[in-house]
Amino acid sequence: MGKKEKEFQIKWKTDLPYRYSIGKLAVKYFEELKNKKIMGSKCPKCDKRYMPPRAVCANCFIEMTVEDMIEFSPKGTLVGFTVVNYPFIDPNTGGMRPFPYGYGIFKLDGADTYMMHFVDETDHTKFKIGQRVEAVFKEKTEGDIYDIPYFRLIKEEEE
Amino acid sequence: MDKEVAIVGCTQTKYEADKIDLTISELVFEVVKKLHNDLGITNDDVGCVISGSNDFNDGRTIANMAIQDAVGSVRKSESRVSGDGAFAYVYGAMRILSGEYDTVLVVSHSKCSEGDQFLINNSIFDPYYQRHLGLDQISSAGLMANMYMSKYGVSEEQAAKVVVKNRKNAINNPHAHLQKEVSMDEVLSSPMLAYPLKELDFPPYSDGAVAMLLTNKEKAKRFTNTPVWLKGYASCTDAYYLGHRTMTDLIGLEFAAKEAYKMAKIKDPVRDLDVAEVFEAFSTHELMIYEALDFCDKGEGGKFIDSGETNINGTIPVNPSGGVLSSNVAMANGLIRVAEITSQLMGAAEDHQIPNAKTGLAYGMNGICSQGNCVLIFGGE
Repeated sequence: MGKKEKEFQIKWKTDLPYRYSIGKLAVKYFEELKNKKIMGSKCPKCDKRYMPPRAVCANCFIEMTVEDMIEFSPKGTLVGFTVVNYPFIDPNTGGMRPFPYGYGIFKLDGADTYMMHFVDETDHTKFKIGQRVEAVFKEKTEGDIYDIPYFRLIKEEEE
Repeated sequence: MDKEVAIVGCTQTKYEADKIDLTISELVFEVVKKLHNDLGITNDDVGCVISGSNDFNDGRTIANMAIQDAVGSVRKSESRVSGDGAFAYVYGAMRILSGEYDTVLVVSHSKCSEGDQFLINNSIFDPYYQRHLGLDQISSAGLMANMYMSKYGVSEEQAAKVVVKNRKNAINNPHAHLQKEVSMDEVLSSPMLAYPLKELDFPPYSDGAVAMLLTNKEKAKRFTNTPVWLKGYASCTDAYYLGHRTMTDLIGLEFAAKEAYKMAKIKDPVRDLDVAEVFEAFSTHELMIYEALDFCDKGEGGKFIDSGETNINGTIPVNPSGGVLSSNVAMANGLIRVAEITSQLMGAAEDHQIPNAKTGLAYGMNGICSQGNCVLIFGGE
């Protein structure tokens, strides 16, 4: 397949910057994250508690506003996990993301939906479904997604 | 639905890792020209063109404009689906059902080799809560596989059997990208990518294109003695956020399958269907698909692969072409499933033909872990 042919390249590299509107609920979410609080939204009709917060309840087709936001516990229960073990480009930095790293899907206490985040464990035998996890906050929070760099596995004796 | 929309011909490229010597347009022209030649038609015989592609994959907006010469759509009725090619088929079928067009060309293509598949897949996720946290289809698949296998006690060996089956089937499909048999040991000892899934639990990335001609009841026999008819269709999307879904079951696919079976009057899918081609994005995904398509009970996907019923000589062969685990042409995968079912029902699948296949199912999918689902049921003459 053309391997012996001369390779001809036209190079073109660009940034495609966007300025996304994140919505009032996400603004509140990140403001409260700075205060080390995790906020979701609660449907005023069916009471379903969403994490991350959503502006519309998919069950009821009803609007949720900043007034419908509630605080969840930083602790939750693991329902699934993986250990990512391949290199890829980190879109935040353009560099390669270090690996391996743990990844969990869990339900925060008080929430009805799952969320996903990094977990500070890279040995899959150390994870257990049903295990308790807790958000670890940076000392100096900035209202940024990385204010929680990862969740930690809570050891049984701590509970 | 009975004998309203016919597929009268399909063409596929050979799927390969890197078709560096062909532009996307040239790749598409290859299948369209072959379709013309096979059917003895010219571009003037094509009433309308529908394509399926993805702008992020092609690296340009309104990517269908780059292939308009190759599909013959300049100054012609043309439109496009940004998503899996199975939905492009649906759009094409609707153009026939409108009664306004006698013939519709449906095309789908992708050159995965041209973009960074991680960055493209990462961009599926929302840009404020999820995208920054390193999610992509591989890590999402790891989470889904872990939850599914833990809930139902499905083993890594049962997952590996899907890979062994599909890779073995691909040997007899001349279009397939990976045509090398793999053993259980090779799958199980391949490097762990996202626990519990290993390198061979995932598909390759492939370049390729697929084309087909649709027509109506009146015209079908002009093109072929073995038209393939649409009998049932339904689609269903599950929640966008993985955390807002039931990750242990493919609820969206279950719903779509139920509706499509109703339309096609399928009562017992294992008995009523002769063959299925499904978009399996990773090994355990195919097991979950068996359950959602009601080939077996919930949680029984592992036992169902053990039973051998989905092997090429089983009661319901799944992916006799080798499936996506052998050729992964992002966005074209669903239309390739339709083309493969068409070949089966025409009796034209040669070395991977299921004897006397009369009714078949094609499953196309969009997004991460079966978010958007398209189920199509076809019948032969």
